[in-house]
Amino acid sequence: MGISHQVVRLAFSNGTIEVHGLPEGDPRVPAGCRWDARSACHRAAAQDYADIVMSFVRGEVPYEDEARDYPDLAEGLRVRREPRPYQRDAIAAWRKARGRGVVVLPTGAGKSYVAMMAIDDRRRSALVVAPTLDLVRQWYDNLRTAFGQDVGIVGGGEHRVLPLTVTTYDSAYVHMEHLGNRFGLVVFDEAHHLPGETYALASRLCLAPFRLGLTATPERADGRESLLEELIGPTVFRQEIVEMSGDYLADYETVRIAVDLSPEERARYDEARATYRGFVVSQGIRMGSKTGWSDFIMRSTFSEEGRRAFAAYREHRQLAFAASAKMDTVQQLLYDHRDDRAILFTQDNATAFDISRRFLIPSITHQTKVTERSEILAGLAEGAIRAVVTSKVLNEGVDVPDANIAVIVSGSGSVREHVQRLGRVLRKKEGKRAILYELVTRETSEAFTSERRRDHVAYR
Amino acid sequence: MLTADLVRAYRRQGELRIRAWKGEARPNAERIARRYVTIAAAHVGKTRGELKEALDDVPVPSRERKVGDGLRKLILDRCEVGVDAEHDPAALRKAVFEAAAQARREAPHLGAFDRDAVLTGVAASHGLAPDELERLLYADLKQNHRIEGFDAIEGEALVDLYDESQVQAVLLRAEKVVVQVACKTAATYRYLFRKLKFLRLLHRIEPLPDDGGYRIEIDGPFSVISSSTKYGLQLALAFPAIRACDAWSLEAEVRWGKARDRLRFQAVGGRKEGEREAALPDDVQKLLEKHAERFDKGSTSWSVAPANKILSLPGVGVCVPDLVFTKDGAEVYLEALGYWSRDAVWKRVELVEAGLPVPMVFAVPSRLRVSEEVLPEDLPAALVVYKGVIPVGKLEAALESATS
Repeated sequence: MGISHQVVRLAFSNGTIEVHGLPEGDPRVPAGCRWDARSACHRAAAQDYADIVMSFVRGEVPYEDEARDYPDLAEGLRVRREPRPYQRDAIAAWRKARGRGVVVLPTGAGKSYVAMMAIDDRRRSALVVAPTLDLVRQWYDNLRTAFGQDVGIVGGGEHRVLPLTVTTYDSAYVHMEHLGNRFGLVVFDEAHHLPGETYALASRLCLAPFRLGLTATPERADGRESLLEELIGPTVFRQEIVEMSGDYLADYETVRIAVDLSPEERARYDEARATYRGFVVSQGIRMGSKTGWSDFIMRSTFSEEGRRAFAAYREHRQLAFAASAKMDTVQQLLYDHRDDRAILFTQDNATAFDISRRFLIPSITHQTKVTERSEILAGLAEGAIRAVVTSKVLNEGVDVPDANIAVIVSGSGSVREHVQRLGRVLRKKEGKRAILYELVTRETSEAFTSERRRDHVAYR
Repeated sequence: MLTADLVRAYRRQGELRIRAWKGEARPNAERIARRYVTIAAAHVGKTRGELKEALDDVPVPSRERKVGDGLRKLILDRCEVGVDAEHDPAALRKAVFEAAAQARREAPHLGAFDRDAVLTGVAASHGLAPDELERLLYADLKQNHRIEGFDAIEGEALVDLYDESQVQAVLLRAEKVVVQVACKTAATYRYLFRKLKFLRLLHRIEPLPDDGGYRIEIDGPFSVISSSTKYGLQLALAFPAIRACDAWSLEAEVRWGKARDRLRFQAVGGRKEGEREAALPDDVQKLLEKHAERFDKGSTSWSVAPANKILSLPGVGVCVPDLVFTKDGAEVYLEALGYWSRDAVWKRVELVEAGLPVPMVFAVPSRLRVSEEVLPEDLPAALVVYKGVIPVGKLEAALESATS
């Protein structure tokens, strides 16, 4: 095939790079590009943009770039503070890796400042992807303050794209095919979420040549963390919690409060548990096995007996999660810590709303809009409110520097969830001492759940 | 739209199949549907949570639970909901929670914190009764949304909708769809391609033998790089346009279940008796009739018929002509751009220049302010600009010019 003299043109199309002007089989076609007969051009994942450009530059192939549509940032960091030594080392390692890589630092070590330094270093339009709307809100506040400019949000009912924009992984997956050429740098916060099958696509549909991943725990149960290298870059810097404790995290103590069910609750609990256990045993379901829970769900839908067993399962858990004695304890703790800043965690939204209504404290759930979340957390920081109840949405990453009391009203057996909840109150502050209360209903399945989640060095 | 867990599907030899209605299953589903429709209509003015509770009370046999859940979802989708606009629940919450925090801090002992007093105080400052304040406190939660209207439907039609929605829900998990479609008019094909374009899907078209319609592979840009269910939602949204074809069959590769196993899925359908066919646009219909009259009188030797051809040039676009004119074995296609934009005309010029495989005439209304000279004379195509109705005489000259 002869060499074409048509001008080579790069275009961004729905999360892919179209290479026009090179016929099928042309030796100048960069690796990773495939011929697409549907649109008579070569096509590659947007993620390969930098490699395609480098290939043309090296091969001295003239090209027109209509793909890249991101501006440089006019201003850098407005507020500069002296970085901690490990933050400086992390950014140096990232820069050495040509601005592509993952930085692993423990919760509370100031990962977000590393991202600010990266944005300041590259001065390119940047997109920050975070797992929850609360983290989006937090990034929004931090970026606005640090760079002194308006910040866009995509997600939670908002869609405003600016040179500095924050979004969730879910919204990135949905919108990246349209936004993927608007940013030169993409920051993946809590980057261990990225290798999931759907979220990974958000990275592949984005052409940003510079990429930074931030996480405390890159390892995943499914082993897909190896994908981080392809999606972001290699791990360029890593420091563990044991290397940092004391210097950068607050002192804390954990207090376990065991409560009893009332006689009436106990009777209902025993009856519901017997119904549920009877069904599980009769069906030969081993709840401890890997497929136990899904077997139970599936079989409970097939018969009236199964539906009753499922209702009984929910009732017995609900009784343990929201025992009346727990509510009395919550009332006492709210009063005892009325001058502190407390976050109460529940396993489900219903209990969070119940506590909110009963004790007149704000709740934050997935239904709370970003602006209201922002107001609630600002109120907590200023002291206009002293406690907030949440189910799972504040588990991860959200920074509430003033919070010093965490109350686990109910939770799962997940060690990760428990450690993250503790992490919410560990942000270092002068003279701060944090307390983590865990309320457990005695002689219920919750006592076992509690043992499982405390299986971590943090609960000394 | 249904979600994948509400589909009555089973697997057989690498294939995903939707369970057929057997025995009393369909009449039972219609009974449940009728009951749900009555309850939903009676709950206009009440909350979404109250409607859900009332729907819960309808007994649904365990075997038909999935149908029941699916019908419920479709019922809830047909409800128009709103929030009390007079009072902003978020503002009320802020006032209550801040007052409660202050009262708790001022209370000399635990028992001195008076919840009712906090509510009474805030209610008074907002001109509300305390119980009204409690009701409004979380009025913006989804379950507390008020149902303002219900899009009524017959029970039988709701079950039909459930059947259709099951196919859509399977397509949510599709990586790629291949359809075979046959349409009697250009309008139906156009509806399909307009939909695909709007949804940013890409396609590859092949004609089927014996004018039996077209085979169209539909997926998204990224699919050429790797398979993905990323376009599942768009593929599901394209389904109504596929279903509108006079005859259609569909084959999809889907990722199903928790393990996302790759399975084949097939569906087939077509226009049912009594369903209205897509009509030709008015100006095209008038032209067809007028020209047929002239042909009958012997005033023209061009015969005319509705066209059912798709002209596709990969990388440039698709054109679906309305009519085909025939004379002495020569065929010229006509596309009327009466309802289109100026951009559509430039797109047609681009298509002709890129090498449309048949002679074409485009009828363009003068309101689009396009000159007949935009098409170079040496190409097998012509452009007729008209005001009001498409002029037959001028059109015939264009037909001759397109074949010369």
